[in-house]
Amino acid sequence: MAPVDRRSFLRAGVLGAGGAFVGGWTLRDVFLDPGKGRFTAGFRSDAPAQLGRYSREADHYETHGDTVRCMLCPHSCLLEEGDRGFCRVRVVKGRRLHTIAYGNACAVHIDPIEKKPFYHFLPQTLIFSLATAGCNLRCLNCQNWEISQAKPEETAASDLMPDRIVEVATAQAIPSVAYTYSEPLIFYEYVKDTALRARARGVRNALVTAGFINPGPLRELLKTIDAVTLDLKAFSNHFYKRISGARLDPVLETIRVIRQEGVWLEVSNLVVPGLSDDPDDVHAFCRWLVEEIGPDQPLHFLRFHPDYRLRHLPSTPVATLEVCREAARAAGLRYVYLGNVPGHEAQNTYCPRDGRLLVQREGYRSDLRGLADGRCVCGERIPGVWA
Amino acid sequence: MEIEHPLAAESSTPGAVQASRARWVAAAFSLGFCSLATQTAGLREITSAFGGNELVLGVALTVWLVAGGLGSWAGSRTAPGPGLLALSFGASSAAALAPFMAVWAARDFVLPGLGLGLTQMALVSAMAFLLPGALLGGLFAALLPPAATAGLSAARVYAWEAAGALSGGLMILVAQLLAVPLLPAILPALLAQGLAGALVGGPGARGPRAVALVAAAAACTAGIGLHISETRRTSLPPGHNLVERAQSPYGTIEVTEAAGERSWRVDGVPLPAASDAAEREEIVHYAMAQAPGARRVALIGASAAAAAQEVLKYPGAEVDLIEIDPVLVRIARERMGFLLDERVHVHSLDPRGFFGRRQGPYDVIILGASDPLTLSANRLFTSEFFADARASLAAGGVISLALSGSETYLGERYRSLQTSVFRALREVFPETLVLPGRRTVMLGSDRPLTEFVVQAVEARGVPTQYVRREYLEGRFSPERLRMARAWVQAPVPTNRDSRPASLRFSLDAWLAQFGEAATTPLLLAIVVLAMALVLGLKVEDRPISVAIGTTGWVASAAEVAFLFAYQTAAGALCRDVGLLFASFMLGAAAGAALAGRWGLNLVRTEAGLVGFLLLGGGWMQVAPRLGLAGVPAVIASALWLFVSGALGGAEYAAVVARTRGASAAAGRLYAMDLVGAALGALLAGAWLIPRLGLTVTLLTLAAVKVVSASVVVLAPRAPAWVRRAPWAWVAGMVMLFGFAVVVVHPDWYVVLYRFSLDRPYPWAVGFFVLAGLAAALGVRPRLVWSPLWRGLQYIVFSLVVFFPVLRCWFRVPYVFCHACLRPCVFGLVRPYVVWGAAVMNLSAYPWCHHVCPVGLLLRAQPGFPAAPTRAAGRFRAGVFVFVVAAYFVGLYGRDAYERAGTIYHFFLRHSYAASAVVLAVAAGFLVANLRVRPSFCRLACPIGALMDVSRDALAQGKTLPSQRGDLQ
Repeated sequence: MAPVDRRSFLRAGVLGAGGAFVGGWTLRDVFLDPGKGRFTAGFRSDAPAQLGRYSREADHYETHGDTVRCMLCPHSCLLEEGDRGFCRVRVVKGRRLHTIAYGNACAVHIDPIEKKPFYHFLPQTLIFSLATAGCNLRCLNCQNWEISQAKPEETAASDLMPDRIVEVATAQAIPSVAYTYSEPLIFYEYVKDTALRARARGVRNALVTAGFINPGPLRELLKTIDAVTLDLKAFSNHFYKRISGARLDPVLETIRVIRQEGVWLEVSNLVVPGLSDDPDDVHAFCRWLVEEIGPDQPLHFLRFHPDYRLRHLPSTPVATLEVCREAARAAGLRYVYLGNVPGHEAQNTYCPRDGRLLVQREGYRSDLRGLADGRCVCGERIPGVWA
Repeated sequence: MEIEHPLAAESSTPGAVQASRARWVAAAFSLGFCSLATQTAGLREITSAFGGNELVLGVALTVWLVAGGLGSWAGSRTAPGPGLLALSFGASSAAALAPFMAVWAARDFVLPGLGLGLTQMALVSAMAFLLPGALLGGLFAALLPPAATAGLSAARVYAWEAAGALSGGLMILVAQLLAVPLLPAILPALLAQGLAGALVGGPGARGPRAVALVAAAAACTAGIGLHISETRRTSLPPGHNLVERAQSPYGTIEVTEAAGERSWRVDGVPLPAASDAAEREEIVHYAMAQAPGARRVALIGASAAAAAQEVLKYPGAEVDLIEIDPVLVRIARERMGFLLDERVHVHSLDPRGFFGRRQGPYDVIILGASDPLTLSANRLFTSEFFADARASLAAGGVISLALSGSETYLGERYRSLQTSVFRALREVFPETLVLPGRRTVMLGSDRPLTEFVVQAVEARGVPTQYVRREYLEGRFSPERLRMARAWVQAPVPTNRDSRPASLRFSLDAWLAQFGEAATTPLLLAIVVLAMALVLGLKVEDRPISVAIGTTGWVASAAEVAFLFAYQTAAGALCRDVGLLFASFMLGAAAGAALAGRWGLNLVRTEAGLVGFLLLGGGWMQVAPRLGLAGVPAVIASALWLFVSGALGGAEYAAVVARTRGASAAAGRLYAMDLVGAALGALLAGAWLIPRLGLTVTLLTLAAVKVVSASVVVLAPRAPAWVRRAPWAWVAGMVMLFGFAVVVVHPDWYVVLYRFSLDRPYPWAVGFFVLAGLAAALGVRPRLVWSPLWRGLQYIVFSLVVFFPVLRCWFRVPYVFCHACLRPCVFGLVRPYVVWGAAVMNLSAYPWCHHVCPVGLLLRAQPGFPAAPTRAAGRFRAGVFVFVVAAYFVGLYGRDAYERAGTIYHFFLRHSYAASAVVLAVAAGFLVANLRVRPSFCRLACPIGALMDVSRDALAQGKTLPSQRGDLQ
């Protein structure tokens, strides 16, 4: 090895240290923080060659010269011609942002409303449920990953324009439509147009969402929405970044906005063993809910089953769910439920004043045995949309 | 040129030769012993920690063989003295622990419960196998010259190495049968390596001999310590306490407890627990509802153990549970509280063998197996198995199975999987029913089945938690049932023993979960093929390199095919793999040792291989009809593997004989054999068998061998230009094909970009930058074979350099990469590259001239008869500034910045667009290189130009060694 003089050594040291610093700082983005601050670039040069029947110009975007910035969700994708957003359904064509998830629902079913879960919203009714491909989260335990982590053109979809949805729902006397299964906020325009038409025909609208959206678009959408089930992944930003590819703060803001807009809200939380079952986090979240929303906010703790990439994790012990439920009640919440646990009494609704059984639930069926006009016989008003 | 070995002078008298020969025999034996023990134990450890399937095993095995090939290539180029040889044996002893340490470290690193994709598994395999594989492969090649001086031919060394491997295989087999944990089980191999090190060191290297012994002893002690700490350590899901961890011949079983609830898992994959009501009720009650009065029920697999209690809810029901692993049954009873009822009878037998003997008759057969993601699972979803099951069913009996599904949406891969199984079921049973859910349940019978399962269950009056009208009435709506039936109509083949279509679709679905296709095995195959080409170019007698490379290829692929066939027939590959490997190695040893005596020259072994593969293809058609199981199946498979190994070993001896005793050539041929074997294992496991089936795979291999035999026979008569460089023609064809793909494929840059997003890529770039830095400081290990190393560097850095050159060159200058808003891997790794390159160029131009692909290309132009010109520093700086400014300002105009809003947006706008201008500029540089060499590096590239401009000031005009050649 050739001898190195002092000057060369110092030069190498300075350059090396500089390189290590700059490189380390940027490589952190590759390995630890793919979101890189508040910007995401989505998929480069990945837009379909032609826009077809299932595309519309998207709402909520800005142009900066020839680049486009999507303002729908906090990812704020910065895109240029031919790029596709992180959600896989918003593309730039002709310097304009388009959605390609419009009228091409890949999952369409009629479900009991309790399955969503909605326990305080139109119980005992069916709900017309639909989804398109795509999602703006990357949950490692997603149970619908085949649609949420796919592009619209990769899925087998049916032609279902907004008017048709409303026709079917009204023809079958189904009182509400749910935008569910994947993430409805990313097929925003499809939801908005359908909800508008549904409301005009007396059909109500419900979102089943993770709530990762900017407040402005959310407020606009909520004008036509009657109920929301929001799936809070965990009360931990670390969990959101590591497991879901998102952030916690915007979701909390979504909960606040929903309540401010007066839309019925139920919150669910999938308890993943070892990852989101910390009793302190659960308690802190419930305290936050009580303080920000109030003690009448219904909360569902759902049991995790191994799925997608988290297949090597066992199901959540029922006792862990019960601990979560106790923590929530101790924090002051009055309507706390356990889901995915067949036969558990925590599926029922009890009067917080006298403990009377008001709604008995078996599976996805509800029996409103002690509830009349949204009130217990003792006079306690039970929050919800009961008819 | 043959290497004169330092030990050659030592063996001069006949007695000394005899003693010396024994030493080399022992060393070769120990090498084989340690190799097979380390390899098998490592493979088991990887699958135990992360679960696994044939694709994972194929990739891991490929990594091992590639490492061995690299090592033996390097070993064939060195002539280590006795001391270094002894030390290397000691080091290989310690390196045998690497697979365990790597796997445990990786397991602790990843998120608990997270499954790993193929790329990650390939990385884990590389961490586990590169060091021991390369060391052991290198030692084999390094042994050949001194062994030759002691009168031991390369074929004999090969034979003794194979005999050692045979012993290693048997040792692992015994350990499996006795349920001895793998790390303690391989300690004898570590000790043997230490002793071998002491033997090969000879009298002149006492210190290294002692070090080898101490290293082996230390490795054994460390192994015991690691094993003890591992048994105490928790690698369990967070919050879980370990109740029991047991090793069975079929896998590692763990029982854990959390919040009073017990879970169990095999090789990290959870089995249904007592609290999973939906799991156990669905597979039982849907089937029981179809067979009123059912009494005799067969449950297949311990994963159905929790379901036994559901069956026993029916009056008069009795359960036969068939599970091959007795340890799993014990744990189900003792730890999980299953199977304790006296009405449950357990049969510790292979289900295929059990139903092959026409047991029963049963009223209901319930398959508890998970998806056919492995061959052992797939064999329970084939039409052949369903036929056996039907023969064991009473009239009106029902079979039930479950596959991954969804009641919301099923993608193309899962539709293909379900359809291939459904076709097999429908081929056997006239009546079938598909019920949607989180797991799709399929039923088969010889009498009509009802879709009203919930009502039928209610009619039986059996108490259930989940299979109730309240849960299922929505799921079994006419619309969802119609959808489920439509999902099993994909145009795909039926799942059969000889063509495991469901295995292929399961693997496709598994890969899709990780956003992967077959990219990882494809990349590996390309690397291995490149290695084979490079090795082939170096072997003087090229037809023999073709022969040995393809023989390694087909022997390994045939081995995989026969192992697959055994697994399909007997389902006990996990238990018997040591014995079958041993049989293959015994054949290899016998073939290498006896080839001369049997009169097997190269042409005859080639012909023998063709005949063997054709016969093997026929056997794959006949064997299922013979219904072999148990001992006959083991013997038949072992015989086929023995012949396969024997032909491979004999061919090695035959090609070595053609080299006329040149040990270095023998080492290279061994490397060629291993590299061919790597390619064979990978292609057979990942593509050929799942897509073509066993018979067609073997016939394809026979065709390959016909081609290689033709080369061997015809090569001496071929024209001179063909004889000079047959591999070069093949390489040229491959490169042309690659070029055509890149140019013609409309999305080639998207493909490249996606490839770059694989995590291993940035790591590889980082590694090569560090290696380049080390090289710049003068640290260049001799073991690194320079052309191969440069080839790898070229491949890795090509994307970093060429992709931006074509897509954003001069558009996002390097200095802005760290500020760019796009998550471009090239941009994000380039800061390291840039600074690393700057440091490299401080004292010379190692980056520009030895690492950067552009520089490497331009260095390939010295043959042009033009006198190079040295441009003045100011002129070069001026050209650099002019080019940058002209490009941006001239092409886009000043107002482009304003239109873009911010400078970042400007760079974003003008990045990643194909440009004829860029290509023209590149061509200009190529031409300019005739006069100013290398023009691009010194005039335009920011790194080179910057360093060149500042070199006079910084390095005071010194012309440095690596630069001189380029400036002359």
